[in-house]
Amino acid sequence: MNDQAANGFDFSVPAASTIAPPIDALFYTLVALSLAVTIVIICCILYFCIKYRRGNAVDRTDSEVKSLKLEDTWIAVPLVLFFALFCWAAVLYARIFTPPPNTLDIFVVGKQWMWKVEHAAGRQEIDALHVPVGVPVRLVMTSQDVIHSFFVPAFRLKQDVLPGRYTALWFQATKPGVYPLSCTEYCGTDHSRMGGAVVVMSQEDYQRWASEKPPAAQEPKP
Amino acid sequence: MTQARTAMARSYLSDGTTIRSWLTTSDHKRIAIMFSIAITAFFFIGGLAATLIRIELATPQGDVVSAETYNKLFTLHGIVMVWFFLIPSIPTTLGNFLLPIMVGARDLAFPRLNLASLYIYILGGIFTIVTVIAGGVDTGWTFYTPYSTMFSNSYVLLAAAGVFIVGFSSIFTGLNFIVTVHTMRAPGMTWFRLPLFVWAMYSTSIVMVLATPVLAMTLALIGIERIAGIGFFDPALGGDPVLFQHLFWFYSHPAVYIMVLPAMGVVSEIITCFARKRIFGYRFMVYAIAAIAVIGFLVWGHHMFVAGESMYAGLVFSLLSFLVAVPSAIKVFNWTATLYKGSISFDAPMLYALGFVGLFLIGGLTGLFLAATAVDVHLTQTYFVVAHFHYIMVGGAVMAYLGGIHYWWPKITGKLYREGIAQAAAVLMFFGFNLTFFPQFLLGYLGMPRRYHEYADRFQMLNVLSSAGAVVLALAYLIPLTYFTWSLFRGERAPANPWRATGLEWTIPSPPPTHNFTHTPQISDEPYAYAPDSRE
Repeated sequence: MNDQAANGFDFSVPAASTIAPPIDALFYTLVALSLAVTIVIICCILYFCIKYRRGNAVDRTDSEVKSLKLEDTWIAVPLVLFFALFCWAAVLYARIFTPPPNTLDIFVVGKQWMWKVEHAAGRQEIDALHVPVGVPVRLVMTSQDVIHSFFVPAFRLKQDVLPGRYTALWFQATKPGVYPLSCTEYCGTDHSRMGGAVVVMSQEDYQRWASEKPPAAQEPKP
Repeated sequence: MTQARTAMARSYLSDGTTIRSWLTTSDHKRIAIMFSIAITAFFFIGGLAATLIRIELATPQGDVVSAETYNKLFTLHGIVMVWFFLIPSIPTTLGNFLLPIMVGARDLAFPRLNLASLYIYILGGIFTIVTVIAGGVDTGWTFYTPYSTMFSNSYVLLAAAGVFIVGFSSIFTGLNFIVTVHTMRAPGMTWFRLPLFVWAMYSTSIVMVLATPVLAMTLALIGIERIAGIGFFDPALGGDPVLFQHLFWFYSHPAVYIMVLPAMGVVSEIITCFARKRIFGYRFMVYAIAAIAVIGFLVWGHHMFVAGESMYAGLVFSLLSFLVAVPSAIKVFNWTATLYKGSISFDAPMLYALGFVGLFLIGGLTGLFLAATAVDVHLTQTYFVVAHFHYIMVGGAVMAYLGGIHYWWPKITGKLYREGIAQAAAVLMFFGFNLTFFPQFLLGYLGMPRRYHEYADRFQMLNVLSSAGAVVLALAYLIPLTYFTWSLFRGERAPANPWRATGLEWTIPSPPPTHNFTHTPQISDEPYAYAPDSRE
């Protein structure tokens, strides 16, 4: 984290998974669209409010507009636009739900108020998740008590973690680094402290890390 | 004293002045007054909780209240604001007062049921206040299982009982409105001559009557699981926690429309009056209200895109959520078009109505982000959602409620308020609101989860802005309280129709006589028979 971040001025969030850029593309399209619609509507309202303010002598004849064509237009245009947005989002949503074959599976257990992670090679960690870059990883998750939610903003992904069943979340990290991990389903007193970090490492580093003997003491919270 | 000064009839305010005459009244207007006092009290209780939340969030550390207290504060804020302010707000006050008058009736169909609705509301309110005194509840207003049933050590049952009880108040009021609109319209008041406010109340009532029982059953199941350990939602007992979410949102998403449809009705009355125009596309406005009420029942799963529902369920709910945005968009376009060639004045009610359109627009557009499944995966459960629903519920519903209170204040109380300070408060509220909630959109995108007592340092700047906005907003909410109180005691006497508005309520004295009309009105025209005078 740089100094700006420490001062609370950091208005960016890294995009560190394969799904993050396409989700951002849709997000910023929605932002642009919303801005455009807001500006057009607000400008119309302001224009009418100024031009037709009471006391301003302007032409108000034929004020009784009844236009089916206008109504139909502003029903049809949003319908088409919304359907397009739905499809765009749906394609990405399906990608989020469909892991590729041969994922690296890592097991995650949520409990009040910590994340316990177990790697295929046997290494365990708490409130941290080490993953290799460039490899599709699938988290197989469950909860020991209440509902939690596994959220990594840099990956633009989250998935609720439920007691009594498994949920899965797959991603492929694209940039080595340390990214915040939060619980986003309210889970009781220390909900806001239930978090940690996702550490994205090169594949060799991950191999070495996973096969290392863990230090005797528990890994410190990053 | 407000002695009836007109020769026609005594005003409802002077027809009996003892406390008993108020508490045992069956006059819809008096019941509306008592409701407005009760919901105003709850608004300030909920607002106090919000204030404490924003003070805590001014710094990243949890340094003002403990984590337990913080969790109880946002739970209290949610429960009080949703069930004890927003849902009853417009229907039980403006709706109660105006709906019978607007359809040309002497009272609601079931006046004593109306009084029962008030007392049930108060009983539910007592449960909520007792919950707070006993030590509070920390589940969040959503009561998610299995936290609420098996893990929370707070007063879940007491709080759930309060919400369970207040639901019957909604059902009674809704039932009353439906029957009144069906059976008590004056001669000539056809369905398509109803003011849009009445259409909004009618649709809202249908949603209340159909959805609220589901909430009652869901809360009852929570009670049974928590008391008897019979498993409905806890997987350890063989239940399914996601089932709870389906049931809860089956009520709670339509509940959003219970809050915003009445607001749309109020705004349609105000904009036409102050633009001196008929509403643009009256029938489309009616169909849009009906469409929102119907489709609103089919979108609840969009709260659960990452909750463990299937991909296909997510896609269907996403499509329906985009669909429900279409009638909302139509309404915004029609309000805008209504201004065209109007003769617009900017009295306080109009400022609130225009503020509503702007804020509802932003709330609606950001709803599209959350309807877009893949984007929702990132944004859900963050401050983006908090900002979005506050734009709809506070920017939308509360602005419209206050606009309506200003618009009908002279009619209800028979007194005028000071226009200048009211306009200033409306503008201040608009800026305070945006400063409070716009930064929360950014916080959400950056990844700050909601319901966080402590947060990472990098989020502090935006939180400070939000808290600063909350100070402005709190101040702006206190101003109307003072000048309205002043108006009650010192305000000028209001004429019958200070805004030169159309609508039956403006044809009778201010304040109205007990039985509203001395003779049954005859209706021969569509509503909003305004014409802009080209010289104005």
